[in-house]
Amino acid sequence: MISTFRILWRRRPLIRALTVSNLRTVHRNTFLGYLWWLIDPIMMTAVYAVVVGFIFKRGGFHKPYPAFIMCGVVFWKSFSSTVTQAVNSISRNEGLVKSYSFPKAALPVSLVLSGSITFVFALVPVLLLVLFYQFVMGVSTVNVSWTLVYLPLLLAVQFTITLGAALMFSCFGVFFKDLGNIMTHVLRVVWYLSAGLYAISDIVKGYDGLLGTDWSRIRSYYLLNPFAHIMEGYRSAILYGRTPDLAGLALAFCIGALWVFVGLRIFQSKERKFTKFI
Amino acid sequence: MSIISIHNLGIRYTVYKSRSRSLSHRILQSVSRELARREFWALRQVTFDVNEGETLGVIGRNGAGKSTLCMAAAQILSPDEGNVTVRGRVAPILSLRSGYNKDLTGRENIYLCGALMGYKPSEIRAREQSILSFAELGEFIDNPVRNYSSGMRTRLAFSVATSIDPDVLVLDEVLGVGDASFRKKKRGANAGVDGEGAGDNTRLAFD
Repeated sequence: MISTFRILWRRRPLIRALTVSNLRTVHRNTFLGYLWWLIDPIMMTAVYAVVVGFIFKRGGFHKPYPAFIMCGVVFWKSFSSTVTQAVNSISRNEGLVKSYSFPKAALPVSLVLSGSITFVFALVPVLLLVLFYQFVMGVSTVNVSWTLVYLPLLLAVQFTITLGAALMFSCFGVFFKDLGNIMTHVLRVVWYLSAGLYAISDIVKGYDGLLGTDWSRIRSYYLLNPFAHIMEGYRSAILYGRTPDLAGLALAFCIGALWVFVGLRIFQSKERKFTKFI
Repeated sequence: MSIISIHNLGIRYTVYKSRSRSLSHRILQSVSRELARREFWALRQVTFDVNEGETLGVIGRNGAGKSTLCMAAAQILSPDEGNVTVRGRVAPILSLRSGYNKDLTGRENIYLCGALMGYKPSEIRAREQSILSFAELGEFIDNPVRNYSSGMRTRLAFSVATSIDPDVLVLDEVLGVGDASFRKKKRGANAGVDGEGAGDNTRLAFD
């Protein structure tokens, strides 16, 4: 694990070159180009705001609901699209893998880096929406404040967990070609299991006695979900002006660090087999 | 002092007899995995040394293992048996269909390929002019590589690999491509790297 890391560290110029080419190629052939970084989260927010907030009328607990969703959506969109791309990153770059000798882990790492850069731009419409609700609409629950200083911390946690997932799944993806299809469904389930459309506190509220289950125990299991803490953290810091739940973020960071460790270990033992397998 | 030293090299591939895509086939295959596959040694007990300044050409029929040897010498395939030691930086040109990002321009690919070979951006920038003048792609250097003809791709790949002055140059079946004037130029460049290049289809050239 240490040696894989050391090799990657020595090949920083390569990782930078791959990151730059990711950023350049993703939007080069499209008409709106880089604008898609802003359009994607806006569209996803609009869909959920209309379906859940307007048609189901379930957004009432969390005003303003569009801003509430958008804080979770931008994170999830960034995480899930990075992981989805990472699953196929090594076989999609077959040409490079079979032409040069380089650490293959640089491919998922560069995807995580370009995804993080994209994410920073995607935060701009979120901040604009939140400011709109506070100053134009005058919604009292919205309170943009100094807690924005927690954004770098949240970004660091998000980066770690995305990196861990990308490293592990890019390795598995070489050997199981079906993983790309499976991941679409897994990611969708995890999104609904995480506190994107609702708050963590909603898990207990009003369900006690339902199905004869002890909901406080279910909630304690639920709190092991790192993504729920990250989404809740972004909402606290951006929307409500509260200090994020630092214990939850610490847990998410530890899970992410464990994944990075496991991912690097898998790379170290399996990397030599990649060229023959793809 | 040998710059490449290959000792008792063996590369083994696993061949699956059934390549059927159907799910039932796959399940059967995973159950009786040992039956469904067989092992195949593309190379075995290959031993040689190449000294600095030497050129080594490899001739053989299709399937003899020339390309596999090139990939092993470029350290793209790791040996299943024996060992491969290479001192210095390797510039491989193994195929004209891959080895670059089609969506990037020629110029951007120079930097990407250089980085893949282990060069820093500053080192590539210092060589950019000589790569450009060797490739003679003119204004097309800023067009995406997907629009290049195979001749243009050869020029680009060859210019990068030779102008970047690597310690080892590994070429696989790419010498025959290109028009007469470019071939003459390539021969000249080869002379700079190693000596004279024979007309074999797989070559390892070493500096």
